[in-house]
Amino acid sequence: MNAESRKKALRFLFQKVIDPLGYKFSPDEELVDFLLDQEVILEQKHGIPYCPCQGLTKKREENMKIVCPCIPFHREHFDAMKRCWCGLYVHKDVTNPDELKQIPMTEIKGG
Amino acid sequence: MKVFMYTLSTCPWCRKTKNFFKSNNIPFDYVDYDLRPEDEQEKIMEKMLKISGAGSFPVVMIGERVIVGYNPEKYSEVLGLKKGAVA
Amino acid sequence: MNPVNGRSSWVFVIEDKKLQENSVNLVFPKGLSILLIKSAGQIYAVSNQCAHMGCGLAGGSLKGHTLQCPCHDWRYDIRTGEFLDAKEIRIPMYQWWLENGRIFINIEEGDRS
Repeated sequence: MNAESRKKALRFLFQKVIDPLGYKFSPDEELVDFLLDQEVILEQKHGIPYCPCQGLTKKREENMKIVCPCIPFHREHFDAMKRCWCGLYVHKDVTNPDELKQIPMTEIKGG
Repeated sequence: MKVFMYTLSTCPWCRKTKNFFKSNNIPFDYVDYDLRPEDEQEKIMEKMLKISGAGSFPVVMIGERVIVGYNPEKYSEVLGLKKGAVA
Repeated sequence: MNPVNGRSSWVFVIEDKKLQENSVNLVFPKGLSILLIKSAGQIYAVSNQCAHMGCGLAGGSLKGHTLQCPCHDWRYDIRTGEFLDAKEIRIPMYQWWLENGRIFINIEEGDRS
Protein backbone atom coordinates (compact mmCIF):
# COMPACT_ATOMS: atom_id res chain seq x y z
CA MET A 1 0.00 0.00 0.00
CA ASN A 2 1.40 3.40 -0.83
CA ALA A 3 2.08 5.89 1.92
CA GLU A 4 -0.69 8.33 1.03
CA SER A 5 -3.43 5.70 1.07
CA ARG A 6 -2.07 4.20 4.29
CA LYS A 7 -2.16 7.66 5.89
CA LYS A 8 -5.80 7.95 4.89
CA ALA A 9 -6.50 4.50 6.32
CA LEU A 10 -4.82 5.33 9.65
CA ARG A 11 -6.80 8.57 9.83
CA PHE A 12 -10.02 6.68 9.28
CA LEU A 13 -9.19 3.99 11.85
CA PHE A 14 -7.92 6.38 14.52
CA GLN A 15 -10.79 8.84 14.16
CA LYS A 16 -13.13 6.11 15.44
CA VAL A 17 -10.92 5.56 18.48
CA ILE A 18 -10.31 9.17 19.52
CA ASP A 19 -13.86 10.45 19.02
CA PRO A 20 -15.43 8.67 22.02
CA LEU A 21 -12.44 9.81 24.12
CA GLY A 22 -13.23 13.49 23.47
CA TYR A 23 -10.33 14.12 21.10
CA LYS A 24 -10.01 15.17 17.44
CA PHE A 25 -7.17 15.47 14.96
CA SER A 26 -5.26 18.71 15.49
CA PRO A 27 -6.40 21.62 13.30
CA ASP A 28 -2.69 22.03 12.48
CA GLU A 29 -2.89 20.10 9.21
CA GLU A 30 0.80 20.40 8.47
CA LEU A 31 1.67 18.79 11.80
CA VAL A 32 -0.92 16.04 11.32
CA ASP A 33 0.42 15.30 7.87
CA PHE A 34 4.02 15.11 9.12
CA LEU A 35 3.14 12.86 12.07
CA LEU A 36 1.07 10.47 9.96
CA ASP A 37 3.98 10.30 7.50
CA GLN A 38 6.23 9.26 10.36
CA GLU A 39 3.72 6.69 11.59
CA VAL A 40 3.52 5.10 8.16
CA ILE A 41 7.33 4.88 8.12
CA LEU A 42 7.34 3.38 11.64
CA GLU A 43 4.65 0.93 10.61
CA GLN A 44 6.69 -0.12 7.58
CA LYS A 45 9.70 -0.66 9.81
CA HIS A 46 8.10 -2.32 12.85
CA GLY A 47 4.71 -3.46 11.57
CA ILE A 48 3.09 -1.15 14.13
CA PRO A 49 2.26 2.60 13.92
CA TYR A 50 4.08 3.71 17.05
CA CYS A 51 4.05 7.24 18.43
CA PRO A 52 6.76 9.25 16.62
CA CYS A 53 7.50 11.28 19.78
CA GLN A 54 8.11 8.50 22.31
CA GLY A 55 10.96 6.02 22.44
CA LEU A 56 10.62 2.29 21.85
CA THR A 57 12.16 -0.16 24.29
CA LYS A 58 12.74 -3.90 24.35
CA LYS A 59 9.65 -4.39 26.51
CA ARG A 60 6.52 -5.25 24.56
CA GLU A 61 4.31 -4.27 27.48
CA GLU A 62 5.75 -0.75 27.43
CA ASN A 63 5.77 -0.47 23.65
CA MET A 64 2.09 -1.37 23.44
CA LYS A 65 1.33 1.76 25.48
CA ILE A 66 2.76 3.97 22.74
CA VAL A 67 0.92 2.56 19.75
CA CYS A 68 -1.09 5.38 18.19
CA PRO A 69 -3.60 6.50 19.40
CA CYS A 70 -2.05 5.98 22.84
CA ILE A 71 -4.52 8.28 24.64
CA PRO A 72 -6.13 5.45 26.70
CA PHE A 73 -2.77 4.69 28.35
CA HIS A 74 -1.86 8.32 29.14
CA ARG A 75 -5.29 9.75 29.77
CA GLU A 76 -4.54 11.82 32.88
CA HIS A 77 -1.41 13.31 31.34
CA PHE A 78 -2.96 14.13 27.96
CA ASP A 79 -6.21 15.45 29.44
CA ALA A 80 -4.15 17.87 31.53
CA MET A 81 -2.33 19.13 28.41
CA LYS A 82 -5.51 18.96 26.28
CA ARG A 83 -3.38 17.24 23.66
CA CYS A 84 -1.39 14.05 23.21
CA TRP A 85 2.37 14.30 23.60
CA CYS A 86 2.86 14.57 19.81
CA GLY A 87 0.04 17.03 19.35
CA LEU A 88 -1.55 14.81 16.72
CA TYR A 89 -4.73 14.79 18.81
CA VAL A 90 -6.25 17.62 20.81
CA HIS A 91 -9.37 17.99 22.93
CA LYS A 92 -12.43 18.66 20.77
CA ASP A 93 -12.82 22.23 22.08
CA VAL A 94 -9.29 23.27 21.08
CA THR A 95 -9.17 25.77 18.21
CA ASN A 96 -5.60 27.03 18.57
CA PRO A 97 -3.23 24.10 19.15
CA ASP A 98 -0.22 26.46 19.29
CA GLU A 99 -1.34 27.53 22.76
CA LEU A 100 -0.95 24.00 24.11
CA LYS A 101 2.39 23.05 25.63
CA GLN A 102 4.23 19.81 26.12
CA ILE A 103 4.30 19.36 29.88
CA PRO A 104 5.98 16.32 31.39
CA MET A 105 3.80 14.22 33.68
CA THR A 106 6.14 14.87 36.60
CA GLU A 107 5.30 18.60 36.45
CA ILE A 108 1.58 17.96 36.18
CA LYS A 109 1.57 15.68 39.20
CA GLY A 110 3.69 18.16 41.13
CA GLY A 111 0.95 20.72 40.46
CA MET B 1 26.52 26.62 29.17
CA LYS B 2 26.72 23.21 27.58
CA VAL B 3 23.58 22.14 25.75
CA PHE B 4 22.80 18.51 25.06
CA MET B 5 19.58 16.85 23.97
CA TYR B 6 18.03 13.46 23.42
CA THR B 7 15.81 13.50 20.36
CA LEU B 8 13.98 11.26 17.91
CA SER B 9 14.43 11.57 14.15
CA THR B 10 10.65 11.10 13.77
CA CYS B 11 9.50 13.77 16.22
CA PRO B 12 8.53 17.25 14.92
CA TRP B 13 9.01 18.85 18.37
CA CYS B 14 12.58 17.58 18.43
CA ARG B 15 13.15 19.32 15.10
CA LYS B 16 11.64 22.51 16.45
CA THR B 17 13.89 22.26 19.48
CA LYS B 18 17.00 21.90 17.36
CA ASN B 19 15.84 24.83 15.22
CA PHE B 20 15.38 26.99 18.31
CA PHE B 21 19.00 26.56 19.33
CA LYS B 22 20.25 26.95 15.75
CA SER B 23 18.24 30.15 15.28
CA ASN B 24 19.66 31.59 18.46
CA ASN B 25 23.20 30.60 17.50
CA ILE B 26 23.60 28.34 20.51
CA PRO B 27 25.78 25.31 19.83
CA PHE B 28 24.43 21.96 21.03
CA ASP B 29 25.04 18.25 20.84
CA TYR B 30 22.27 15.70 20.39
CA VAL B 31 21.63 12.00 20.09
CA ASP B 32 18.77 10.72 17.94
CA TYR B 33 17.62 7.85 20.17
CA ASP B 34 15.86 5.89 17.44
CA LEU B 35 18.96 5.85 15.24
CA ARG B 36 21.23 4.40 17.95
CA PRO B 37 21.95 0.69 18.54
CA GLU B 38 19.71 -1.14 21.01
CA ASP B 39 22.22 -1.42 23.86
CA GLU B 40 22.82 2.33 23.76
CA GLN B 41 19.07 2.97 23.62
CA GLU B 42 18.64 0.94 26.77
CA LYS B 43 21.11 3.12 28.68
CA ILE B 44 19.55 6.35 27.40
CA MET B 45 16.05 5.17 28.30
CA GLU B 46 17.19 4.29 31.79
CA LYS B 47 18.47 7.86 32.24
CA MET B 48 15.29 9.34 30.76
CA LEU B 49 13.04 7.31 33.04
CA LYS B 50 14.99 8.62 36.02
CA ILE B 51 14.62 12.18 34.77
CA SER B 52 10.99 12.28 33.71
CA GLY B 53 9.49 8.86 34.36
CA ALA B 54 8.63 8.60 30.68
CA GLY B 55 10.15 7.95 27.29
CA SER B 56 8.88 11.23 25.85
CA PHE B 57 11.15 13.30 23.61
CA PRO B 58 12.82 15.78 23.41
CA VAL B 59 14.83 15.94 26.63
CA VAL B 60 17.02 19.04 26.71
CA MET B 61 19.86 19.53 29.15
CA ILE B 62 21.14 23.07 29.57
CA GLY B 63 23.98 23.00 32.06
CA GLU B 64 22.50 21.29 35.09
CA ARG B 65 18.90 21.97 34.11
CA VAL B 66 16.77 19.35 32.39
CA ILE B 67 13.73 20.35 30.35
CA VAL B 68 11.39 17.73 28.94
CA GLY B 69 9.40 18.73 25.88
CA TYR B 70 9.57 21.59 23.39
CA ASN B 71 9.45 24.68 25.56
CA PRO B 72 11.17 27.74 24.01
CA GLU B 73 10.13 30.00 26.89
CA LYS B 74 11.87 27.76 29.39
CA TYR B 75 14.95 27.34 27.19
CA SER B 76 15.19 31.14 26.95
CA GLU B 77 14.75 31.56 30.67
CA VAL B 78 17.45 29.04 31.54
CA LEU B 79 19.79 30.43 28.89
CA GLY B 80 19.12 33.97 30.09
CA LEU B 81 18.02 35.02 26.60
CA LYS B 82 16.21 38.31 26.25
CA LYS B 83 12.54 38.30 25.43
CA GLY B 84 11.99 38.03 21.74
CA ALA B 85 14.43 35.18 21.27
CA VAL B 86 13.69 33.37 18.07
CA ALA B 87 11.26 30.52 18.84
CA MET C 1 -41.00 -15.87 23.64
CA ASN C 2 -38.85 -17.40 20.97
CA PRO C 3 -37.34 -14.47 19.08
CA VAL C 4 -35.93 -16.59 16.30
CA ASN C 5 -39.16 -17.64 14.57
CA GLY C 6 -39.71 -15.84 11.34
CA ARG C 7 -37.02 -13.26 11.99
CA SER C 8 -34.42 -13.12 9.25
CA SER C 9 -31.83 -11.34 11.43
CA TRP C 10 -31.52 -14.48 13.61
CA VAL C 11 -29.07 -16.95 12.13
CA PHE C 12 -28.08 -20.43 13.28
CA VAL C 13 -24.32 -20.50 13.98
CA ILE C 14 -23.20 -23.54 15.98
CA GLU C 15 -24.41 -26.41 18.11
CA ASP C 16 -24.12 -25.75 21.82
CA LYS C 17 -22.24 -28.99 22.48
CA LYS C 18 -19.44 -27.80 20.18
CA LEU C 19 -18.81 -24.72 22.34
CA GLN C 20 -15.99 -25.48 24.72
CA GLU C 21 -15.67 -23.70 28.04
CA ASN C 22 -13.11 -20.86 27.94
CA SER C 23 -12.40 -21.11 24.25
CA VAL C 24 -12.98 -18.57 21.53
CA ASN C 25 -15.17 -19.76 18.66
CA LEU C 26 -15.27 -17.81 15.43
CA VAL C 27 -18.54 -17.92 13.50
CA PHE C 28 -19.63 -16.16 10.33
CA PRO C 29 -23.41 -15.63 10.28
CA LYS C 30 -24.20 -14.13 6.87
CA GLY C 31 -20.58 -13.12 6.46
CA LEU C 32 -20.26 -11.26 9.78
CA SER C 33 -17.27 -12.19 11.91
CA ILE C 34 -18.47 -12.93 15.47
CA LEU C 35 -16.91 -14.65 18.46
CA LEU C 36 -18.87 -17.01 20.65
CA ILE C 37 -17.29 -17.54 24.03
CA LYS C 38 -18.48 -19.74 26.85
CA SER C 39 -17.11 -18.63 30.18
CA ALA C 40 -18.26 -19.90 33.60
CA GLY C 41 -21.16 -21.58 31.84
CA GLN C 42 -22.40 -18.35 30.29
CA ILE C 43 -22.31 -17.63 26.55
CA TYR C 44 -21.14 -14.29 25.14
CA ALA C 45 -21.26 -13.12 21.52
CA VAL C 46 -18.97 -10.24 20.58
CA SER C 47 -17.54 -8.79 17.39
CA ASN C 48 -14.28 -10.31 16.19
CA GLN C 49 -12.94 -6.89 15.26
CA CYS C 50 -10.68 -4.94 17.60
CA ALA C 51 -11.85 -1.32 18.00
CA HIS C 52 -8.28 -0.10 17.54
CA MET C 53 -7.20 -1.17 14.06
CA GLY C 54 -9.68 -3.89 13.21
CA CYS C 55 -7.46 -6.87 14.02
CA GLY C 56 -9.20 -10.22 14.44
CA LEU C 57 -9.65 -10.93 18.14
CA ALA C 58 -10.10 -14.66 17.49
CA GLY C 59 -6.32 -15.13 17.62
CA GLY C 60 -6.07 -13.36 20.95
CA SER C 61 -5.87 -14.77 24.43
CA LEU C 62 -8.73 -15.27 26.86
CA LYS C 63 -8.22 -15.05 30.60
CA GLY C 64 -11.38 -15.17 32.66
CA HIS C 65 -13.65 -12.58 31.08
CA THR C 66 -10.78 -10.66 29.48
CA LEU C 67 -10.02 -11.07 25.80
CA GLN C 68 -6.72 -9.61 24.62
CA CYS C 69 -6.12 -8.63 21.00
CA PRO C 70 -3.09 -10.34 19.44
CA CYS C 71 -2.01 -7.22 17.54
CA HIS C 72 -1.44 -4.52 20.18
CA ASP C 73 -2.76 -6.16 23.36
CA TRP C 74 -5.98 -4.13 23.69
CA ARG C 75 -8.07 -5.90 26.33
CA TYR C 76 -11.86 -6.26 26.39
CA ASP C 77 -14.41 -7.46 28.92
CA ILE C 78 -16.44 -10.02 26.99
CA ARG C 79 -19.43 -9.46 29.31
CA THR C 80 -19.84 -5.85 28.22
CA GLY C 81 -17.64 -5.42 25.15
CA GLU C 82 -15.82 -2.62 26.97
CA PHE C 83 -12.17 -1.82 26.29
CA LEU C 84 -10.57 -2.06 29.73
CA ASP C 85 -8.32 1.01 29.40
CA ALA C 86 -11.09 3.35 28.19
CA LYS C 87 -14.66 2.23 28.75
CA GLU C 88 -16.02 4.72 26.22
CA ILE C 89 -14.66 2.37 23.58
CA ARG C 90 -16.38 -0.96 23.07
CA ILE C 91 -16.72 -3.74 20.59
CA PRO C 92 -20.26 -4.62 19.45
CA MET C 93 -22.12 -7.41 21.27
CA TYR C 94 -24.77 -9.62 19.76
CA GLN C 95 -27.88 -11.31 21.15
CA TRP C 96 -27.93 -15.09 21.07
CA TRP C 97 -30.63 -17.70 21.57
CA LEU C 98 -30.28 -21.36 22.47
CA GLU C 99 -32.93 -23.75 21.18
CA ASN C 100 -32.78 -27.55 21.04
CA GLY C 101 -29.01 -27.43 21.47
CA ARG C 102 -28.63 -24.98 18.60
CA ILE C 103 -27.30 -21.45 19.03
CA PHE C 104 -28.70 -18.60 16.99
CA ILE C 105 -27.29 -15.08 16.77
CA ASN C 106 -29.13 -11.88 16.01
CA ILE C 107 -26.85 -10.25 13.47
CA GLU C 108 -28.34 -6.86 14.24
CA GLU C 109 -26.10 -5.42 16.95
CA GLY C 110 -27.70 -5.35 20.36
CA ASP C 111 -26.85 -4.49 23.93
CA ARG C 112 -27.76 -7.83 25.43
CA SER C 113 -25.94 -11.11 25.14
